[in-house]
Amino acid sequence: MRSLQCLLSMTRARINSRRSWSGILIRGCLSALMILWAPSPPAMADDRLVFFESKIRPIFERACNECHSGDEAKGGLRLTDRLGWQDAGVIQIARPESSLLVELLRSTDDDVRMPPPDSGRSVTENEIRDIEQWIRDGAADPRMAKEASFAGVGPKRRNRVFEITPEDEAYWAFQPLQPPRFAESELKLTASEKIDELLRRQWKELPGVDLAPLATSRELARRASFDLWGLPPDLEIIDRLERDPSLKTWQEWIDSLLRSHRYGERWGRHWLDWVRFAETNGYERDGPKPHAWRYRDYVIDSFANDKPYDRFIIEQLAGDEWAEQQGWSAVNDPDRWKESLIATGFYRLHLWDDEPDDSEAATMDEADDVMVSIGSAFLGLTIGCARCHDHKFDPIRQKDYYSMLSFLRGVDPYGLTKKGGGGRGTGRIQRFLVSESESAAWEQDRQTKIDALQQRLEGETDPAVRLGIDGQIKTLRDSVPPFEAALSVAEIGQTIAPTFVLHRGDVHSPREAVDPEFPIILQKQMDAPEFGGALQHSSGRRLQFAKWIASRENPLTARVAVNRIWKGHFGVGIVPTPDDFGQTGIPPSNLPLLDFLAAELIDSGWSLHHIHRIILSSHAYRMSSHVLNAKAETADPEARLFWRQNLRRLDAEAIRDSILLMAGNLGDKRSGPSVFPTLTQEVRDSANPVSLSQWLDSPPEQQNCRSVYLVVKRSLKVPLLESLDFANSSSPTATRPTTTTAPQALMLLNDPWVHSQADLLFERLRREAGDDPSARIQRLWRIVYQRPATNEEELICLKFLRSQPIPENEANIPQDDLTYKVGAWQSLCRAVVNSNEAIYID
Amino acid sequence: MNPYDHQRNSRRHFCTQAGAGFGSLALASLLEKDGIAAGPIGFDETGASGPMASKAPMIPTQAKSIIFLFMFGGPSQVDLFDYKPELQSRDGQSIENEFRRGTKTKAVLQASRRKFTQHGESGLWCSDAFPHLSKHMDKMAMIHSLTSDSFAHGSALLQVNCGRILQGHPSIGSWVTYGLGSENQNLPGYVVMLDPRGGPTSGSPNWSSGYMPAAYQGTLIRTSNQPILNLQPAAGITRDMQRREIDLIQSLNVQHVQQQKQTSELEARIASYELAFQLQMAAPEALDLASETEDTLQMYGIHEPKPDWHPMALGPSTFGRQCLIARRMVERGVRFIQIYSGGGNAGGQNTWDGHHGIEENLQLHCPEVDRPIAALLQDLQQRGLLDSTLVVWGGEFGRMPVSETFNTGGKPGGRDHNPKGFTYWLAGAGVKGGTRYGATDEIGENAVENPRHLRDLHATILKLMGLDHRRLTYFHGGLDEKLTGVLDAQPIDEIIA
Repeated sequence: MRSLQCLLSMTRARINSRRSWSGILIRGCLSALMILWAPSPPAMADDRLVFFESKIRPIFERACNECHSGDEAKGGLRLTDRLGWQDAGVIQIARPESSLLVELLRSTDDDVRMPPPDSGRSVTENEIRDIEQWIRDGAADPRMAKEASFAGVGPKRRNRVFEITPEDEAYWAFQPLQPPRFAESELKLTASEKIDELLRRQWKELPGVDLAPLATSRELARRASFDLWGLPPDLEIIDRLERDPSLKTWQEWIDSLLRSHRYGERWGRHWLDWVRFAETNGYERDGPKPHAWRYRDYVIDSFANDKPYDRFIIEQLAGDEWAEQQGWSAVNDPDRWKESLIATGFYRLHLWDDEPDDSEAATMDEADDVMVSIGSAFLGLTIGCARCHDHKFDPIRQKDYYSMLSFLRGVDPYGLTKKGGGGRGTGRIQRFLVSESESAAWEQDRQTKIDALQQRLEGETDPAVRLGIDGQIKTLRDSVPPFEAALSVAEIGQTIAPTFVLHRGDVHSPREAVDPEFPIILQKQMDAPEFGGALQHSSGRRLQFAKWIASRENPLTARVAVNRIWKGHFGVGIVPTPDDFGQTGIPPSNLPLLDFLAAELIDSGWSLHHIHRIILSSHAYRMSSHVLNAKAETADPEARLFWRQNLRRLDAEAIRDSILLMAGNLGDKRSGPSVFPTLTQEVRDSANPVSLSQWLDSPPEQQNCRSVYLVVKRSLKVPLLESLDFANSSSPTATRPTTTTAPQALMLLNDPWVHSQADLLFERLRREAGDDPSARIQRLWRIVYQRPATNEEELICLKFLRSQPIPENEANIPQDDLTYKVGAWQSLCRAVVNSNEAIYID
Repeated sequence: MNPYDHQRNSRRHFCTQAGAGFGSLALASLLEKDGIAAGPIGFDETGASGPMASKAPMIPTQAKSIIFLFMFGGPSQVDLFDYKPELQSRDGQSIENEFRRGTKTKAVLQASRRKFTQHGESGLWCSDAFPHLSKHMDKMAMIHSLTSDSFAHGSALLQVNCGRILQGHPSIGSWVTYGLGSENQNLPGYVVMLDPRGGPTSGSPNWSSGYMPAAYQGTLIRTSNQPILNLQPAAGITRDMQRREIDLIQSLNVQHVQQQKQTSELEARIASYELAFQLQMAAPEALDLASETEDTLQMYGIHEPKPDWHPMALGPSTFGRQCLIARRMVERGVRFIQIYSGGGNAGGQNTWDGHHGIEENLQLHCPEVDRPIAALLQDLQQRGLLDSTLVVWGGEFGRMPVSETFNTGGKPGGRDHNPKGFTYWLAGAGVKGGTRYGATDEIGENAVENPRHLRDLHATILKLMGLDHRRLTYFHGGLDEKLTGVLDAQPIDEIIA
């Protein structure tokens, strides 16, 4: 911080004329500042953005931008985008009094003051105050430069002629993991303590900034329970943690959470976001993807069983080839064989237009969809940007894109390709989970029966009997083999047609042919795994590709994975853009920590549970989210460096599931085909008839399952989940936006489903707490908030119960007896479920 | 115009879709009521906050609102606005017709059974299918030479609405409200009204916000019962009881927020309940036609009975009601309003998809929209709103000049899809009325004079609304995404006044 002070005074000395001050010196020093501040845009809560848009942007546009824009910006200062003023160093975040911009605006010297008096423009005192306020609040500025002028801050557009530059080679995300060193005295620290230590190292220069104190037992129990299970904790654990606040008790509890299927349901759902899981194809008919639920169950089980992450990758990308190589089959180790095939359903999750305008282009679009999703989910790379041209920001050539695509080009397309559109047939997208001989035997048996019937038919003359036999034959022909089936990949064969670089991504403009090859920038960082050769039904290429991603040498895979886990526990990742580790993303706020966790992941045998465990036992995870630390608040108002925990809203599934749990109504479905919840007439009235025709309400007793088991239909999302920011399910969702809207409030206040659950919650109160209003309120508080109600809260509730008028259907009950005011109690239950304390975790 | 943080982080979006102007006041009074001094509350004193707050346009414009009249199924330009004397004279002649991309067949030209005349000072052509609308030709700019990329309803609808034939991108209403916000914070800024026969092909992806926050998604407004999902309390719960319930939620929330340090999100959520309560009044009020005069209702055809000549016929009353509601929404500052004519499965006469006989189709649907749209244009003009309201009319593509016989039981009379040359018209804010732009060939099949891609229409609409299609970007997946995509688009300046 002191260097900045020096810098500012130096800068001031240089202001003898407003046109002579230079940004050059500033930049050098600024980069030092950036390490602390610049995990890019600092502090940008939305109200600050609003302030910028309503107050600050108009000032810039009216009074400044005419001169301070573009490459020729006066004085080297651009005010048309954030990087402009960052580069020039005219704003010191949070400190208007030290910001050159303010000094220039306030100057009484006509030669120095901005805007220049002779320009005919001016800014008012109030406007300057607004600018000061804006700077004080962190100078939130959403405006990105079209082209960055300054390497290291924001994306820099690459040269037109592709070359790997020294900067590319030095780019952090492509470096091998560099786990941080620990001093002799720190070696005895546990992994969790090392996390804390690595966070603390960032503030060595900032006295007074430190990890916040621990949160309360109740806050911690809610936090960990919602994070790992997506459900509120039971009361018993809070009592236990209060009685015994030792780390050991905490860890035992965390372990028990991780070992549960509930954890698989929670984190499996996260994974489904990242791979844009849905059970229908989208577009006009939005047809079902057969057996997609098996892939969902596979993901849930993999998380619940702590499947090594490298194996999880290999199964999804090349499970079929992997199983064959391992010698697994329907006969020999059927369980592992099935699991590996089901995992490859990954390749079939994409949108599929069954009536494309151009089938060949559509097939290429689908392949691209898979490529983009692999880049996003596993590698944190925006590979898709290189489909039409070399990547404009990252060192990925267009050729790299097609070379990578050629690993996947053996995959039999989802739809059969027909020229001129209308390719409605379906490719080989599902497989029976039995041996080929078994399915062949069934097939043969059917044929034998059909043959026999046909023989009878030939000798039969009675039309009625003939009709009957015809019917039997038809039934046999239409009968579905009685085997389990899975949505899965299939390859065209052992050899694959060559892949071409496509000019501007156009399938009809092929250029040079390419071989399967890994991106050149990563070839320099790691060796390619050996190619195992073709297999019986496939080229074997995907297995090589999968092993490359799952390699411990791959600099991206482990980093991307641990970053997502961190985000799941803090609300924001160490890299705030979990699916973009490239130049257009935001760099890590703490690279040593990221690398430490990545190395832990690999060294633990790719155990995701291990990463959860060490994060959850750190002090950092267990910090309070609402502490006062003025120093830290000023330095890092958004806590990007994790000096406190974040207040977080529950996501859609956690809100729905916890309402079910509170109502004592959470079902125990753990697998199987998805559930279709009953739609209200309002929704039915405006839904597309095609969507509705495929929506057959499941029996009511099944509808209380966890949200992860509800159907994900692309054209008709479950309205409650959709309104609460469910994943978009068409492209990978690394971060769901959290929106707060009036329609959400209406949904949670008035939706019939919410009402039915609140009614059940009231029944539960009556059952568990009897007739006494006070006891019921206390019980309600325990169930929903996991704490007793304060006297004041009890009074508020009683007052409410008294004031709520009695509906007509309850007119016969005594007016002054609160116990029997059922409608008022149900209303109370809804209100509590709607309250912020229920919806947010500290 | 690049809210960097929408996409890249976990920073939250306080999408008080119904804004915060009211909410902050209500909250302040609530805090006061509870004896708590109203401190800084996270909303600036100018009122609106959040993504739907009104924003200044990039380009000077008169336009404030847009009404997009969507003729789902694909209206037949050669029977409505694109008069082709040569087609009329070659009825029954055989030609080679590309009816799907790259697939040609022999087909028979089918002249329009409609009578065309020129109208107004501009002399723009309109057929007798639109006897009322044809009185307003001088207000319209006709674009006869549009092309798009798909012969199929699903992808073609997506392209008109979202700029791509691929699903998953934000719709034009999302782009416009993302760029401009909305003027009324107590109503949704982007509303969609559907045909009572059902939604369009693919359903909600057509008004989805794609990868943008859900605040920019279109809100379906139903014209009967509850206009917005769950708008009204359940049976037996009065407005007063709902108010008490919300009061209880708010007093719990106020207690809670005081123990927190990160309060802006919590405050936004508190405000959202006040706004929801407000919306319960504002939305029905906007939809309530009781204060409209009898003349107005007549003009829109709202009293017309449902015709009995055809089981699918609705007559003008439904679309008329929706058009009148659209005008009321415009008056209340709603930014983007889309109304669908035609709904349910494509391929039947329930939409403009006239495979099964174009005459029957026109007789069904033209009277449904003719008076309502004419009334809308007149009404907007009378009230001085036409200068600030952009009206757009069109479908997902046009139709072929040839007869489609294969699925009309051998009867001549249907027309197949045509994305190679079709018509849109624009009227109102900034549009040069009475203009005719571009042309199809002599039979009305292919755009030949000034052919313009759909993305140029998008650029035009954005420009008229005060937005620059090159600068209206949203960062997603490593790219500054645009409505018009990566290929260059040009506004059709010839139709802009």
